[in-house]
Amino acid sequence: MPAILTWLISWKTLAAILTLAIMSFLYKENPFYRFAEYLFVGLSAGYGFAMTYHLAMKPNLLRPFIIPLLQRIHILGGEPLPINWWYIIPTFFALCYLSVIVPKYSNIIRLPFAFLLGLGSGMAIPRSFQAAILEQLWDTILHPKGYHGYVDMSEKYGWSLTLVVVSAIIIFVSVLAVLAYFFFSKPHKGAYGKFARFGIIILMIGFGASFGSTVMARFSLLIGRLMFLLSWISGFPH
Amino acid sequence: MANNEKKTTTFLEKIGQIPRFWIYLGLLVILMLPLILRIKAKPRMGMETKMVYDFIDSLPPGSVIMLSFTYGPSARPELEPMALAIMRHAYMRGIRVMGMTLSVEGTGLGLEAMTRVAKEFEEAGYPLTYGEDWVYLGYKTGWAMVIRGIGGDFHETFPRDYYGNDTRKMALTRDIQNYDDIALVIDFASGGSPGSWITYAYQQFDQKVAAGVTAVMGADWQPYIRTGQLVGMLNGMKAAADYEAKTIEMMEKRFGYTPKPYATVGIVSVTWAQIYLIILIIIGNISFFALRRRRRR
Repeated sequence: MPAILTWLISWKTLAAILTLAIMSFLYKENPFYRFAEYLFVGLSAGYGFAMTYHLAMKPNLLRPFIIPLLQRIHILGGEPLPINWWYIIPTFFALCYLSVIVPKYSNIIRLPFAFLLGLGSGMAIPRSFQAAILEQLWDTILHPKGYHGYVDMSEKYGWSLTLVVVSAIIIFVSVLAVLAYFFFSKPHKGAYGKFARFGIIILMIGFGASFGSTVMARFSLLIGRLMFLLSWISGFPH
Repeated sequence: MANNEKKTTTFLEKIGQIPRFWIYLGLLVILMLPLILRIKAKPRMGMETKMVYDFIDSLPPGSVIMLSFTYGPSARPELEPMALAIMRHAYMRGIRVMGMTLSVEGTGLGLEAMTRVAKEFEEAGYPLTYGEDWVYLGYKTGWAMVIRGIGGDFHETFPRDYYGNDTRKMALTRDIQNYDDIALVIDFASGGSPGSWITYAYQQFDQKVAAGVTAVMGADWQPYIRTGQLVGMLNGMKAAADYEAKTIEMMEKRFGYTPKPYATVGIVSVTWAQIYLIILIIIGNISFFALRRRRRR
């Protein structure tokens, strides 16, 4: 087969055409874009289902419970597999999800939801409170624990301790100012109003930094596709 | 005078309404130029990146680190170069690497990244052995349960690797009981998974955790560095480029082998594009304020 034909009939060429089809949306809405979009959605769903079946359902439900069970009631043949009866509980919960198909029994879905919510809350609330609130609070209010962190950072990276502490004070004041902005029980007037105004400025600075990072992230993704297109073009037989 | 004012206004109106096509075309040219000309940046490692680098550098040879590839194809250009760079660094220090993912989409991407670095080392004349130097555990459903599970009994959570090998029999995983035997977990994430690693692995088991995140999420995880909940963080393509440049330099010195650069090339395009965008924002603002002033008159 001629080299040019091999290049043309390849997965890479197909991927490049689909990439260009998606990018064509920048010009305007068109059938090529729609086709590529639908194909992407369909493939993603199919891939996700297949992977979940093979990597989650098969090893965690079918092999340890469903297949051995079907073997025991002689629906499936083959070498008998050991059965783990404990799996009857998650299997029951999994089947409960299907109850929505029959409106009369759809209330049963509350069982797995209740179980999951209870389990999730029990697991997450104490740890999340510690991780996302207490630890952050110590750091913000210059708790000795947070201060040791500043000393460590200052020593490790050769920063002036004064600079590190000043930045911590800025964070502390900024947090208070932002909280003041969102505290509506007191009118935003006079000194308090100015402090709340400082809070909104801090928020805007934060949003600006996030926007800059977001732009960088989106460009990075675009560059990923552009690099792919360049590697595809560079593969063109000379 | 009136004629002059009319001309100025027309110009301001025009620059405020540049057609979308020309803006995108300009962006495309700016993004493509550094890629075509292969202009490489000479990045300087930021503090958060250096914290991760220093931590890995301080680990004794033979230590085990775990990488979590919790991202999909959409975040790949940002996160994969980080993962590649960290693996190169680890292998050069004699540190062994386990890979896993909490996201179905990350299954193939994680395997591809790990295989790619193994291939690089083979080409460099320093072949790595699967099962001894690196292991890929694949996808495990359950998110928080998996993270907690590793802290309880590693082998119960991951009885088999991605290829179906028994983790109790493989040289790398044989002696790993729980987090006590894992020096560091690095989560490459396009979502909120670093929060789960912090909440369950760090808070509950005191496991050292680092994160590699997309630039969009960087600001969300920064507070966790100073508190020590994260040992460091790789934030977006900038951090990827910093780390990549360092590891490429290390491989060139040690093996005389140059891995294909990715982030170090991409970051130049990102920088140019950011400048382009800032210029557009300034132009847009000048136009907006000038027109508003005119309307008020």
